[in-house]
Amino acid sequence: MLSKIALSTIKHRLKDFIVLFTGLTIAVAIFFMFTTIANNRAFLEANSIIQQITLIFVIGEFLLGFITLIYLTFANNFLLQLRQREYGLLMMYGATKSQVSQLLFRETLILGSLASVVGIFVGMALTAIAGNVLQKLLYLNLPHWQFFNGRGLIVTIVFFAVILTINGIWNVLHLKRTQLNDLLHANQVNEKLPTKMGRYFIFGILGIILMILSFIIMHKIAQMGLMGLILALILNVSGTFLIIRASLILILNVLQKLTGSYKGLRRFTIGQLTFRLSAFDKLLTIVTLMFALALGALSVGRGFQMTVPILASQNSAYTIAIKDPTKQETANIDKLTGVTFKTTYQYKMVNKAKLYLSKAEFSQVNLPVLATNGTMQTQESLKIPKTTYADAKELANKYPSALNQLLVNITANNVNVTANNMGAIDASFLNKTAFAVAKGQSGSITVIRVKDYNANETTLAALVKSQMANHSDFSTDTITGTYPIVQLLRSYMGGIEFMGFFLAIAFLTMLASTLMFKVLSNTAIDKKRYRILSMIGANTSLLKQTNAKEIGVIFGIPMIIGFLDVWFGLPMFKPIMGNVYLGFGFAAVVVVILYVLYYLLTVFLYQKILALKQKHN
Amino acid sequence: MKNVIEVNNLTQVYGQKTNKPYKALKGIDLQVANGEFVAIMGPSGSGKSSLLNVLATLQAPTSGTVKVNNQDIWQLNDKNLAKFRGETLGFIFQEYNLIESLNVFDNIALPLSLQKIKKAQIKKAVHLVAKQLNLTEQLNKFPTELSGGQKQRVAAARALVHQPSLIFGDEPTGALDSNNAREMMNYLSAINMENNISILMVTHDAFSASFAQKIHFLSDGQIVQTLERHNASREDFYRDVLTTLGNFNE
Ligand SMILES: Nc1ncnc2c1ncn2[C@@H]1O[C@H](COP(=O)(O)OP(=O)(O)OP(=O)(O)O)[C@@H](O)[C@H]1O
Ligand SMILES: [Mg+2]
Repeated sequence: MLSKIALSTIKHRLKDFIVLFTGLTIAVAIFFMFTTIANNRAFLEANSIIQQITLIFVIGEFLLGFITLIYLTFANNFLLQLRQREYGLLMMYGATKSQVSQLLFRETLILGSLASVVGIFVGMALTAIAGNVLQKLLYLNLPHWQFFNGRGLIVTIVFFAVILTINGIWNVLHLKRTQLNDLLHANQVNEKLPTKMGRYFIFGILGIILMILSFIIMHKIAQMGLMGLILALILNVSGTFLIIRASLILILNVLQKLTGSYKGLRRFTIGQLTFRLSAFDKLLTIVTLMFALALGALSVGRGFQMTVPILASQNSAYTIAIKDPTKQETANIDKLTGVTFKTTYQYKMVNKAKLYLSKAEFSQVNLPVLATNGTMQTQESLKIPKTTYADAKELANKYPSALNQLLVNITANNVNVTANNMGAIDASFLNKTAFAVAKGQSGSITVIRVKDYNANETTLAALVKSQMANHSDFSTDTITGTYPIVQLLRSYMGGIEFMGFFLAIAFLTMLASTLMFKVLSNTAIDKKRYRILSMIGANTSLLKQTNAKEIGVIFGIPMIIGFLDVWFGLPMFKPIMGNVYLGFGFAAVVVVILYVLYYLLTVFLYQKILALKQKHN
Repeated sequence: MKNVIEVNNLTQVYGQKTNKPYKALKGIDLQVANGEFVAIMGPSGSGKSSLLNVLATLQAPTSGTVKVNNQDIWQLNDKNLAKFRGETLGFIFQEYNLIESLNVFDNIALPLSLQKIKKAQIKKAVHLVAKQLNLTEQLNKFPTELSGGQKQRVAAARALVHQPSLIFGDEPTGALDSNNAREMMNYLSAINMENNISILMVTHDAFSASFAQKIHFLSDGQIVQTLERHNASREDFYRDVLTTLGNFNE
């Protein structure tokens, strides 16, 4: 009977339950997503150039566990808030406390387990989709990739089972301690009165100090190692918490005192924010954390992604060189689009010991080279020279690496032109007639440069594959040109690139569900407040503005602190990245756009629920 | 005498688009003279709140006109309607309708801040009304730190601080005990007489209604009887009200 009543009240507040259920499901899904990777040790070790990657993922797992724990506490409080009035009513009609407690316990567990099961499936789907789509987008094919592993599943199940049980027990204890009367009037308990300003002052300053300390440690992470990372994390999280909890309220109060303005709804906004910031302290702390993690992960991922073409283009002037093209390879070469250079050089090789090239070919058609700037090759000065060379010697002297790469390609890594025939194969340039009569196995090499290797991905990959198959003496670094280098770099950096993008997706999703969930849980209280304001004479557009401003500040805080975190945190990657800020611009734009869209959606939903509209006939 | 409120043939139909429309108001005609204190009584579901909500511009009527100070309020656009509400009307409702995130001072000051009034003037007006309602000690507290009677007085202070010409009350004593209720009604009739502020109040409580000069009885969406106090004492009027209510119940 009691269960029946409980069930019918759930139906009554279906919307709230759907919000709650969705939030829980996403939390489980993201946890699963992360745990699946974190427990795939083979994948991590095969795909990372960071030595302690597994350990970093373990720390990450703890961090996410902490975030999820706080998130589940919100969800649980939300459930309690939803239910306690109804439970109070049930008790007024004669249900005993233990009956009601059991009901609540059962409800918590049922909701939690349902969300866990659905969440795990959603998590698997998310992992599979994100994983495969990302690898496609980044042209990666990472070894040991799985969207599911047993250990990850077990960790997820155990984690949520433990927390849900604790939540259930906590709810029961809470119900036992609470007076019936308080249950009946339990609608607005989630707002606390602001405390004395002196405390805000002390904690506010402390928060800022902790934050700065964490930035300093991050800067010196190379000397401090893993302990430094953990310390920085703890200082940063507690600093963020205190800043939100105290510094910002202090600033709001000073602002209010300084302007002393009563104009419009300014005082209302400040009052709302003061209340919200103390009620949202934990929420905004974890949202800041997730924002920073998403932005940081994307910056690093994108940084590596951008490094690949830069490094590649600094290493070769042409896209690919094909030795002795077969019919099929010729067909593939013809398929390439945006070809800016294509020429074929003849060679003759004697017993894999002597190599002849035709001098004339090299003085008639220019091999694309990387112009040197001092000894460094720079991407900017890349060009196909207009002047021709008197002979190959000149080319070899002026642009040693250009010729070298070609010879490496022809001789399967067995020659080094700058060392002047110090390699296993002796290379020399003959004049036209001498070359024509020279004996040896003759062949050709076709040098190609295309505008965009990404646009020709499949064809180029096929060419590399067939070259490897056709020449048994080729190894991965024998085929020269930017594209083979890109392939090489991808296998070296792709893992980090992928993890960066993947984690950014996970954190952004979790962030979205957390912030929206909590912000929207205030509409019931605010509906009344905005109605009062409209009775007092505030017009609809002013109300909408006021509401958008308030939510804007709530969204803005994690964004600003998150940006600071990432700006000061990125130097931690110095040991593995040339320019740590390389991907920051891109990541900032992407994350901010998503975040703003997400803000607009929240405001839209909020105002829809508040029904800020004059009913006019 | 001039009328502050003139209502003509007002109807309110709920759920018009459903297959079961419900007529809550069936053609109400009503006048409230300048400075008059009028109460509306009637059984639950008779349409009292519906009527008040339309008059107070909180809800648009299905048909009919409502003129306040000769202005047809439902011809105003949203901006002017809000301005009109802010400057001319004051509201006191059964739930106190205070904003928990503002302290008492800021709650009372709200209507004035919306009208872009100078800070010094706002302070003066708030302190004055707080003194009248015996709230001076509470100004720095938050609503959750107040008793029911105090909250209702804050709500009244906020309704009065901008010196509206018309006050609406929906069960303004509904959540108060009899002592607090008497105090609130005494206060309302005092400002009605001294400041010439018109009051229209909905109540189911005969005692509260007996403070008015005129009582309309509403039943099933229509005004079925009107009782006037004339020069009778409040106590006598109270007895009349009780008798009339008794007749209704027969
Ligand atoms: N928003 C609404 N939608 C549909 N019907 C409504 C709505 N508001 C009120 N009603 C109906 O209109 C009728 C009049 O309601 P109203 O709230 O005006 O009554 P009331 O006289 O104030 O009653 P009470 O003394 O109980 O507050 C009632 O039958 C009610 O069910
Ligand atoms: Mg009513």
